[in-house]
Amino acid sequence: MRKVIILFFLVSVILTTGCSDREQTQPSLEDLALASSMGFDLGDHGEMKMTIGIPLPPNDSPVPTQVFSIHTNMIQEGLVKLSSESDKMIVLNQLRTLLFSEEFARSGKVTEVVQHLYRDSTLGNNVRLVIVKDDVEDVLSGNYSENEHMDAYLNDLFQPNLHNSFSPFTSIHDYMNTQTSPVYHTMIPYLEKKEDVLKITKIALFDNKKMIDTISTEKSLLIQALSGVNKLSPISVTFHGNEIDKEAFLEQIDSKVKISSNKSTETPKVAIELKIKAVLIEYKGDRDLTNSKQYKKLEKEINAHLKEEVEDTLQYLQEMELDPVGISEYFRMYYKGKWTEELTRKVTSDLDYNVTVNLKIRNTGTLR
Amino acid sequence: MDMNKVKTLNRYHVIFLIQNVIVGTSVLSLPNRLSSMGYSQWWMPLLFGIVANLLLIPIIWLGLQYKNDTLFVIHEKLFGKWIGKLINIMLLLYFIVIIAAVCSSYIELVQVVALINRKITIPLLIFLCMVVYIVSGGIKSIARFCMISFLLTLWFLYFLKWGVMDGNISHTLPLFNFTKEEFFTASKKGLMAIGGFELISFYFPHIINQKKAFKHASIGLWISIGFTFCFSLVSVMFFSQWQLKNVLYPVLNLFKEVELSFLERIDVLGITMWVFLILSTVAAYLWVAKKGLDSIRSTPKKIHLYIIAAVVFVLVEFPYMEEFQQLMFERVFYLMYAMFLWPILLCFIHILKPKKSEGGE
Repeated sequence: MRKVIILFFLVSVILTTGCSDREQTQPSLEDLALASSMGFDLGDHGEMKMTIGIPLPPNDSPVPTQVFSIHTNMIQEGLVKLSSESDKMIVLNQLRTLLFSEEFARSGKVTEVVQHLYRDSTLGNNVRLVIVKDDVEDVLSGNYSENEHMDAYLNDLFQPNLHNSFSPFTSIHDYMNTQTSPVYHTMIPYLEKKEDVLKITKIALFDNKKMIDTISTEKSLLIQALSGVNKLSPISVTFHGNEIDKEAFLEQIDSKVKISSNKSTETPKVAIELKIKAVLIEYKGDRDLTNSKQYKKLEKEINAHLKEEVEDTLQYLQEMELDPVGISEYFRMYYKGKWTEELTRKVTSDLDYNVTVNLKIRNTGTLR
Repeated sequence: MDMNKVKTLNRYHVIFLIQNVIVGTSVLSLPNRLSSMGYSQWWMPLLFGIVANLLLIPIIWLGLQYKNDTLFVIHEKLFGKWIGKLINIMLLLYFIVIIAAVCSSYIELVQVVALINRKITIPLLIFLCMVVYIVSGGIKSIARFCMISFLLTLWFLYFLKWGVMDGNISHTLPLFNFTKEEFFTASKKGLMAIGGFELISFYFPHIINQKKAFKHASIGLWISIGFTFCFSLVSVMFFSQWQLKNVLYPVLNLFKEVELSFLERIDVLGITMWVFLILSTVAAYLWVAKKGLDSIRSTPKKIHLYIIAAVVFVLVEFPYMEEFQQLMFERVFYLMYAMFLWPILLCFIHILKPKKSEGGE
């Protein structure tokens, strides 16, 4: 009896293979096109124009990157349409860069796109957002003779390292976080294409959903410092209204920020203390730096200069009623009830700030 | 193994049984469940811990009155044979639905994260086979499995480092920024996260050192509360309030932030490793359900285990009435609150009942 049962079982297992469905199988890796960059332009009639860059394996094809473009209203629909164009199934698992044209960003459609991608669990966390000055399609289909592999080039451009810490490196999570939080406003790096070179020239600022302005990378660096980034990219200081000093260049900057508020949303006041330690790498001017008194004076000069810059930046943000630093967070912490965007706006515009910059030059290298 | 001995659980077994049965799928979504309280939710797990610790007192007290009886037997002793059996049948149904709910929520998550475009029948079958294998070794084998899964999943806490780095500790302030209604909604939805400790009333007779069971159970309870607390604190630091409300599995997104130079997509790894925590939870519940069926039919049989596993499989894979299924899986956890309070009622009945020769004393 037992043998019959086992035999019956074995036979039925073999027979069930007939029930397997060939269509159901997962496509193999060779059949997938792993998109690494994705861009959005605004079409002529307000629709999206989606561009996708797919890196191809070397030696396999004459071009290193395949670029497709399509007009569509929905992202997934566009992907399906493109898949039928490119012989392979396009998937977003390896997506690294998400580009938006300035026009698109100013129209306020970015959130819609990013929220869709945020929902998609196949995407990793290392997707960076970029605003492009002109057409995204231009950037993606451009020919970069120095950096042949466009995708790798783009990817490297947005990897955080010491020399570009002015950039906020907005990832999908960062974007959603700052967009949905009533305290913060979003910042995204702003890319320009010049001949065959790409460069982050500015930083785009968002109010609510729309991009409204750009700021210089110097200002953005200070915003990063104020929001608590510890290692800063080098700062070059050009003195004005000073006879003796002309220029100085600081490197290996460690910064530490301390912000304390008076906890009142009616008459908001903050004290901002920025402590910076740096190495003075280059100096142009008439000071004799071997003299320690002169040295101290230079420190003071740079201090005053930085303080002015920080105040300038804050004043600019105040005029725009934007808060990418998150200064209002220091008021929300002590506020009972629901914090709203209006409160952030109110605090930012009424804000009274007191900035102190405390610079310490560690050394000037190994030469006297 | 020592299948024939009744007293098999030493103190470590008790600690880890309590600890690992509590940490199940609910931790994955707890910050989302508590989101009505906004940022003030981060200390809620601590409150739940205190509640659970208080609820543990009547359970252990009742256990000490009936040292050799599981809750199923206690029911029959307190209410008489037929009412007791009726209650046990209801309990059994409740446990089966709980098992099905935990399985289906986890398997669905795996499908969304790791096995996209694939059917879940085979993973579910493998999962249930493993659970049956663990349970067939008895409660001690479940306890041992709990220990190993604790060690295998402890390092998840390290993955929270990235969330802490990108997060903002100031989100934890102000401390009590919520209304009464928000607090009640959050506790109603969140309290189920500590469910699992009440199972001690079923394996209490197997504990060697019953006098100290309360202490050991409390240790286990607070280990898992600590685990849960870490996840919800980091979620509060890392997410905006909108994200806490709308991201279904915040822990998944926390794992996504992890950047290791040699490994990508920790979220997929993390979620698939989470199976250890789910296995230990489901195994304990399945063991209890099997005991329940044993006591209802008055004979312990191995086939009971397979029957329950088959019922769970059918429940999860039930092809129609999906809405009802969803509703049942969601609502069954509210029954858990009745389970939490049940032992208190039993204690009263025990005191009021005229004393005869009771328990196995």
